[in-house]
Amino acid sequence: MRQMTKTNTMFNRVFASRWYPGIFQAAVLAVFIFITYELFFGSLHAHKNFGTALTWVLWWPILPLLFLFTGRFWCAICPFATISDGIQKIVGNNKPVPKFLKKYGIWFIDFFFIMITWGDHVFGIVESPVGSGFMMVLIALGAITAGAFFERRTWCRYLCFLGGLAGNYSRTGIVQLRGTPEICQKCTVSACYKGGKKAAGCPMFEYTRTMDDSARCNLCGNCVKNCPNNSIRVSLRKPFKELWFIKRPRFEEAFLAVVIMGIVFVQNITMVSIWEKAQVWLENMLGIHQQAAIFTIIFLIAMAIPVALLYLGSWGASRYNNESVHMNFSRFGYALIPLDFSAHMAHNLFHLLAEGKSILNTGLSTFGFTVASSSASVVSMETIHLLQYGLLAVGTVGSIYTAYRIAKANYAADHVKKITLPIVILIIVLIIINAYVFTMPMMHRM
Amino acid sequence: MLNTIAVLRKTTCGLAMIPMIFMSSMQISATGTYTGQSAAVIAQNGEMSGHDMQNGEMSGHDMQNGEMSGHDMQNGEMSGHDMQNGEMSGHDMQNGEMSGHTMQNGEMSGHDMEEGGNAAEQTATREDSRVILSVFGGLAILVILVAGIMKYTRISKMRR
Repeated sequence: MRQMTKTNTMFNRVFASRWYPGIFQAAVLAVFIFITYELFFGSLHAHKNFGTALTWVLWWPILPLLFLFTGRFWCAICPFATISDGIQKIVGNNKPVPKFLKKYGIWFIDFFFIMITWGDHVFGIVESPVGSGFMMVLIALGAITAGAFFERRTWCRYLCFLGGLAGNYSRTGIVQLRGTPEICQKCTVSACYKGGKKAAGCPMFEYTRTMDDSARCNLCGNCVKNCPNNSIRVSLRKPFKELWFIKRPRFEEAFLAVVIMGIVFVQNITMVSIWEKAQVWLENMLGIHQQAAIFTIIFLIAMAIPVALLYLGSWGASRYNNESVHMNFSRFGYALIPLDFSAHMAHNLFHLLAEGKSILNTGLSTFGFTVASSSASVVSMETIHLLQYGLLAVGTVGSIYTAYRIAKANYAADHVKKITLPIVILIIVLIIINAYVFTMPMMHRM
Repeated sequence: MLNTIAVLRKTTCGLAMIPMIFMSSMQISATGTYTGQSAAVIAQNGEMSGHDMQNGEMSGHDMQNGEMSGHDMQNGEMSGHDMQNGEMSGHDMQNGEMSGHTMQNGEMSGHDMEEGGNAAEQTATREDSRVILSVFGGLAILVILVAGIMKYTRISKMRR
């Protein structure tokens, strides 16, 4: 208990500091500007470009880990948001968020996330430094526009494709920020939302006093600075715990969770040897010889399979709990998030560990040092496989237990096992598919 | 009036160029995305390893539609129909020998083919980069200007 209080005090002191999060924002913005310059004016070849290595071998692979260990802290220091904040301070019109965005924002996020993944494969964004740079400036323009016209961080909350991923993964995270209910009940100021002399109100449109999940909190610390009652606490918690008690499950969030599974599957399958054969087979079968069209078909199928499987599982569960299939889909979609996370991270581990040295190599050559030709691997493939399977095992256990806890929290005790069973079968099917893909040798990007 | 039309025409052209620039700059890498995989898979299956094919030999129809990168094929030999429709970059094939129909319809860049494609490719890509940054920078400035005008005219109205 004393240890917990110590941790809270430490976090709260950091969050209350006027240097937080500005000092991190400045550092990340400087790195972002350097990366963008490298992408546009560095080496033309991805495997020699330091910007590409920093973006796709370091930043992108460790992002899910950041969400697990630090919640959406990345969103607080994200360079796009920092630029948006700056523009907002100077020319911001602070218009209210349009109603359609409030209502369908998460669908935009789902759509953008799918389109970015699709675009990466069709246009080869990762393999082209200029392509990666194009993506960066495109996102920056979106964030600038949102910041210039709309209030707070409209872009981050309703439009950023990473925001959806961040929201889902942060629910599994080990950090949480909450108000103290006994103190907040008596509060008449709501400085956490409205803002005060020390900082602006919550940029993510959250009432910290009633906030019961970590999907949108970016740990910017504004509420900690503003609260006159010292009610806000930042603390550590068990991973995945938040997923067990979702009060208002949302179909869009569940849909994103299941779509991420499809995206991870696509990312993996396109890196293994059977991908070529599958493409050729489909080309011959359909008589279409356009790779973009073939990829789009496979991509859509890969997206549809997990969605269809979850619908099937939800239909099975609905037979025992008398709720609609739609409701079961929304509720149990969250159970897939641990599996999403582990499969995504297992995939990213390959980039991080099998291509990790390329960060050093490209970095050294950017600054004029001669780099001896050597492998980009940090550890052996056997070690990477071991870690990947370890992660998949943790994710499977996490997902099955989450499904059980969701059922336990919402339905009568004697039906819990029956309701959970179809979802458990679904999780096992998904893990078998993932584990099979991970057995195959993958190609290097760098 | 003529100036306005000219500005409008340039802006429209600039906007229309975004997807075109994107597509053109992606062209080479898009080929690499799909076609590079076979090479890498071969590499992982043991026929090519590490910095592929140092002091080695590639023969037959290896690397069709593929991509070789980095220091591949140092002191090596490529023969037959290697690297059809492919791309070689960097220091590929140092001290090596290429024979037969090697690199049909392909592209070599970096230190190979010093006179030729690389310089042109680099110039074109740099030009693309400048145009992309100019277009997006222009759009960002436009957004900021419009937002600024909206904000400060509203403030002046409030003061009145």
